[in-house]
Amino acid sequence: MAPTYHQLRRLHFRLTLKAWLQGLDKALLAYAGVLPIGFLAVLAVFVLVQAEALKLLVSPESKAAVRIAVVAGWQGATFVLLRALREAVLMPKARVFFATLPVSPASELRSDLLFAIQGYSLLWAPLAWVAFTAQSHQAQLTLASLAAVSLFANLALLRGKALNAAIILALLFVLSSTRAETRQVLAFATSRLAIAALAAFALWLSYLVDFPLPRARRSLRAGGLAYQAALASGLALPFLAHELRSNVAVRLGFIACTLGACLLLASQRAEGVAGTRVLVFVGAAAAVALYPLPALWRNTLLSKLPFLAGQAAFVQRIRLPVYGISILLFGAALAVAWHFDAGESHPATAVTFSTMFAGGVIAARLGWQIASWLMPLLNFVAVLILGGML
Amino acid sequence: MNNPLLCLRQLVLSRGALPELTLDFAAGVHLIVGPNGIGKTSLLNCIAGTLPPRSGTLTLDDQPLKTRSAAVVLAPNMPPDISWIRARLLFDFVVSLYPASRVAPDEAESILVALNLPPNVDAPLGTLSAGTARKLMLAAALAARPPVMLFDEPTNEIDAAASDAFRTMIAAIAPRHVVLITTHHASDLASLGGQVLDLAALQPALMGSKRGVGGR
Repeated sequence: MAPTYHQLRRLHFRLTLKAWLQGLDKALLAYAGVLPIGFLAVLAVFVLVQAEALKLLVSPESKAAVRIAVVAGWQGATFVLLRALREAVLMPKARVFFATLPVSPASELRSDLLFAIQGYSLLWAPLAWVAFTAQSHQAQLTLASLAAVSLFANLALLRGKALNAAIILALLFVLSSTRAETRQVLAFATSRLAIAALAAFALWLSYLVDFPLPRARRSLRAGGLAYQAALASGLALPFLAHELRSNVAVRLGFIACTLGACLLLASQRAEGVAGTRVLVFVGAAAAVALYPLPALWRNTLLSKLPFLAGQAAFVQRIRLPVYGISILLFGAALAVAWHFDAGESHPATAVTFSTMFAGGVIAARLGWQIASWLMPLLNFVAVLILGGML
Repeated sequence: MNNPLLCLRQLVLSRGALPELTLDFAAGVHLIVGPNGIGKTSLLNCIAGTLPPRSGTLTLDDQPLKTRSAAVVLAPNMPPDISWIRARLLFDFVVSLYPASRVAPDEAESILVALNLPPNVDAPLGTLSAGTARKLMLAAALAARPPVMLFDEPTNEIDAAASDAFRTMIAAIAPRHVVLITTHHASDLASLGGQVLDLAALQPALMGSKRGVGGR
């Protein structure tokens, strides 16, 4: 029997995730095997921190600014996660082909929604926990409407439907800025449902109608400085700007989030107590996030321009930007962390993570699959030792 | 650059169905024909250095070809999958990799004109038709003009006028370059007077090497 559109999407989702998780699953098993308590602690902290934040959202005492911050945090986390899983969840590379086939928008929407919901995976845990413990229909409705509208916004954003996404994000803002009124339960429930329905309608429209927005025409002027830089870099710079932009943004976002979390923890400590060792955490995050970048960048160039892969001049030209910019990004992350660390970390910290970054870069360049799980594991152990947790 | 000689010695490709190859290609046009999947494109990729051979050697004027990558250009049978790149940037970049052999800028422009490309050079590659993108890759190879020029099914998808212009330009430069062209339509390129290497004819010779047709 011929497979349905949804069955094809499910197969694509599974195979893409399987390829994406190759190595990562080994890393998780290694954590669980070597450091079972630490692994559980990381998971528990992950769920608890989010649950605490979501409790603020449903608390009647929370101010609007706090609720908006929580919703923004949830929206940011889910967007980054779905952006990382975009190929698995939305199958964008094959969309052009499927657009030529008589696949109904409803089938497309159904598949997108189902796989996005599955893509959230662990993020449902804190949401379910708070909904279960809140014991209030208003709180549960608040959480459900937040999750739904945020999911709709993510789908519209990831499908490049800017106008629909803007409308849904505006509705999300309205949702987050209104507080639950205990005396007007019916009105509150109606307004939440209406907002969620409007957001769903805006998403549904994005599957039916295209609202093209005028795009700024960006072109490198032949002979200009940027044009010459593009040629001199072996096209590495324009590839970074076009092909790897989102990938690099996610990696830098991960480092920035780690830095932000360290600063948040440090700010909540009482005076006179030692602060968080920012250099340790940010150094590990930067090493793990950035070590695959040079190999990824180089392989993207060589695979996109296969007919030039045998050209020595091409390979030489891409070397400096690919390795130089990656090292600069890592160095910048360490420098920022050093600034906020204020000498709390051991002097060997920067050298340790720099060595691991260099080792990871070499391993990735040589195509050693082992690096995909060994690098996160080694950095995790280094954090435990240098962070004084063992 | 006088009469370059490309030699393949006991070459075994890592793809395709070809036996061990020992072939000489002197300056001139060589049409490589054969059924789908036999290894025409793999042979060109191997000479271009993008597909390492399983065994054997490639030399150009008695020097290993891998040390002279700037002596070979390949016009692929499909344009690269980079929809955002401006046609002009890709053209200039490919040509810039051949500083020793590339033609003067005005001659490069005349190649673009001959293939009717100027209206499209500022457009992103993804917006070009298949034929126009193919012509861009041909123009880049013709402007790079190293001693060994490889064209993978160059006349597929391009219009008749561009096909004529391509043949005219190849005929003019062939006496000083080794030009290998894979094709399923040898009759279209018969006017170039090149030698025809039928890879299907080599296939039965699975035992040992076979001397192929060459320019000498």
